[in-house]
Amino acid sequence: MSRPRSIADRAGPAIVALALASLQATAADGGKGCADCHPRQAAAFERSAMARAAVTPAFTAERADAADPRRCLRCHAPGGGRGVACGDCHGSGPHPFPPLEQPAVCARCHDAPGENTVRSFLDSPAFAAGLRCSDCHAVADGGFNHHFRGARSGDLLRDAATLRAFLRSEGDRTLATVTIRHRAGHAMPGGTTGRAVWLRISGRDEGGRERLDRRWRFGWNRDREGRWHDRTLPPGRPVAIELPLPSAAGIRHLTIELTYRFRPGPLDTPDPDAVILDRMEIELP
Amino acid sequence: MRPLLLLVASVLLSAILLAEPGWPQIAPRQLSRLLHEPVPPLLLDIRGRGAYLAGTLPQALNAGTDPAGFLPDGRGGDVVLISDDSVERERLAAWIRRLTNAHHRVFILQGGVAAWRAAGLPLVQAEQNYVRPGTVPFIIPRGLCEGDEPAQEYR
Ligand code: HEC
Ligand code: HEC
Ligand code: HEC
Ligand code: HEC
Ligand code: HEC
Repeated sequence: MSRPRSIADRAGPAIVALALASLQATAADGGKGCADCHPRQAAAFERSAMARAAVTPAFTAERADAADPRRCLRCHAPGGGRGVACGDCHGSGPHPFPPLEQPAVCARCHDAPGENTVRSFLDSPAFAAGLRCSDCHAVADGGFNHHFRGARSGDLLRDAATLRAFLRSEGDRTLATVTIRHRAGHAMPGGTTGRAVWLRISGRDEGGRERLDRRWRFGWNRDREGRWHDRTLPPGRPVAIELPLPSAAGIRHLTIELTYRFRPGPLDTPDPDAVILDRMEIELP
Repeated sequence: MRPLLLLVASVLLSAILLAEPGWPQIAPRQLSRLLHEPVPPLLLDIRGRGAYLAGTLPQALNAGTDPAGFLPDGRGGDVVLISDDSVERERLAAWIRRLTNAHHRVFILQGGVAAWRAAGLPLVQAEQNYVRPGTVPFIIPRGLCEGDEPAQEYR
C-alpha cells in the first residue's frame, strides 16, 4: 500500500479519500471514472482520433463489410466503447498505474500486417536519437499531452517530406531522377494499409499538352495471391526513382508532385483531406 | 575604383582556386556522419554507369558523365561529387561550375571511392539506392485497414 500514500503525498491530504475511492476506478467503464479526477488528460485525449476509433463513418462502413467484424474492435475499442480508452494504454488499474514503456504499449495496435509503425520506428534515426512516440505525437507547450495528434490534425505534415530532382542525359536519352526524403519517426505513411503517399511525374510539351503521366504509390500493396508488400517510405534514408523521358514526346515542362492520402484507392479517387507534401516544376531546355 | 579592383581580384582568385587543387573537399568519415543528418547533401556519382553499378556510396545517385547535360532542380543545397582518377580535372571543373551556377555548394569526396573503402565504409549495389515499384503487379487496398492480424509479438 505504498503507492496510494505517495499519491496522497503529492496531491495533499484532502485528496486521500478521493484517491482511495479511485482504487475502485478501473478502465472497465471506458475511462469515464478517470475523467472525474483527470479532466485535463481526458479532454486532451478526447481530441485524438483514437478516442472515437470505433464510431467514425469510415470505420463503421468498412466494418460492415468485414469478414470477421469482431476482430476490428480488438484495436479500435478493446473495452467496447467509442474507441481506445484510458485503460487500453494504462492497464485496468487500480492506482498505482505502472509507468508506460513506449513503444511497447503502442505495439499491440500499431504493429500488424499493414501497420509497421512500431517496427520501422525501432529502425529510425528518431529512435536512435532517443525520441519516443509521444515526443512527436503527444506534446503541447513543451510537455506531454494526451491529444495524440495524427497526420490529419495540426501541422504534423508540414515539411514532413521533400523532393529533390535532376535531369541528366545518357546518349540521346534524358532521364529524370527524383528522390523523396521524409522526417517522420517511422515509415511513411505511418498507419495502415489504406494510407498512401503518391508520387506523380507529369510532363507537357510546348503546346501545353500532357505527354507523360506516371504515378507511384508508397504504402501497403497487395499482390494477386493476397500477400502484403511493404512499399512504405523508410525513415532516415531517401528513396530514388529514375525515369527515362519518352524522347519523341517533346516534353518541355515537368511537374513532380508528392501527395499524402488518407482514403484508399487510386490517386484519382476524391480525398478531401489529401495534402500536397511537396511539388516542383522543371523547365527543360 | 577600389571595390571594382577587389571584385576583379576576387574573381581571379576564385578562378585560380577552381582550376587548382583547393576545391572544397570532404573526408569520407565526415560525409558518412552527414548522411545521418536530417538534410544530408546530395551525393552525385560522376564516374559513369559502369563504375556506378559496380558499387557506390549509400544514397549516391548516378549523375551521368556529362555536366552539360545535367539539369538540377534549382533548389540549391550541398552536393558531394563522387569521383575517382578516371574523371579528368577539366571535367571535374566543369561539374563544379555547372553546380555552383545552379546555387549548389559543391564538395568533392576526398580520395574518391578508394578512400571511402579504405576508411572501412560500406559500398552498396546501385539498385539499393533506387526503388522499382510496379515490378510486382499489385492491388491497391480498397479498405483502410485490411491487415488486421497482429504480425508478431512485440519484442
Ligand atoms: C478519485 C480520483 C481519481 C480517479 C477516479 C482516478 N485517478 Fe488517477 N490519479 C489520481 C491522483 C490524485 C493521482 C496522483 C496525481 C499526481 O501525482 O499528480 C493519480 C495518478 C494517476 C496516474 C499517474 C501514475 C500513478 O499511478 O501515480 C495515472 C497513469 C492515472 N492516475 C491514471 C488513471 C486512470 C487510467 C484512471 C481511470 C481508470 C484514474 N487514474 C482514475 C486520482 C484519480
Ligand atoms: C494511447 C495511449 C494512452 C491513452 C489511451 C491514455 N494515456 Fe495517459 N499516458 C500515456 C503515456 C504514454 C503517458 C506517459 C507520459 C510520459 O512518459 O511522461 C501517460 C501519462 C498519464 C498520466 C500521468 C501524466 C500526466 O499527464 O499527468 C495520467 C494521469 C494519465 N496518463 C491519465 C490518462 C487518462 C485519464 C486517460 C483516459 C482519458 C489516459 N491517460 C489515456 C498514454 C496514454
Ligand atoms: C520524429 C517524429 C515522430 C516520431 C518519433 C513518431 N512519429 Fe508517428 N508520425 C510522424 C509524422 C511526421 C507523421 C505523419 C506522416 C506519416 O504518416 O508518416 C506520423 C504519422 C503517424 C501515424 C499515422 C497517423 C494518421 O493520422 O494517419 C501513426 C499511427 C503514428 N505516426 C504513430 C506513431 C507511433 C506509434 C510512434 C512510436 C512508435 C510514432 N508515431 C513516432 C512523426 C513521428
Ligand atoms: C488499443 C489499441 C491502440 C493502442 C494501445 C494505441 N493506439 Fe494509436 N490508434 C489506434 C487506432 C485504432 C487508431 C485509429 C483511429 C482512427 O483514425 O479512427 C489510432 C490512431 C493513432 C494516431 C493518429 C491519431 C489521429 O488523431 O489521427 C496516433 C498518433 C497514435 N494512434 C499514436 C499512438 C501511440 C503513440 C500509442 C502508444 C503510446 C498508441 N497510439 C497506442 C489504436 C491504438
Ligand atoms: C491490429 C490492430 C487493428 C485491427 C485488428 C484493426 N485496425 Fe483499423 N486501424 C488500426 C490503426 C492503428 C489505425 C490507424 C492508422 C492510421 O492512423 O493511419 C487504423 C485505422 C483504421 C481506419 C481509418 C480511420 C480513418 O478515419 O481514416 C479504418 C476505417 C479502420 N481502421 C477499419 C478497421 C476495420 C473495419 C477493422 C476490422 C476488419 C480494423 N480496422 C481492424 C489498427 C487496427
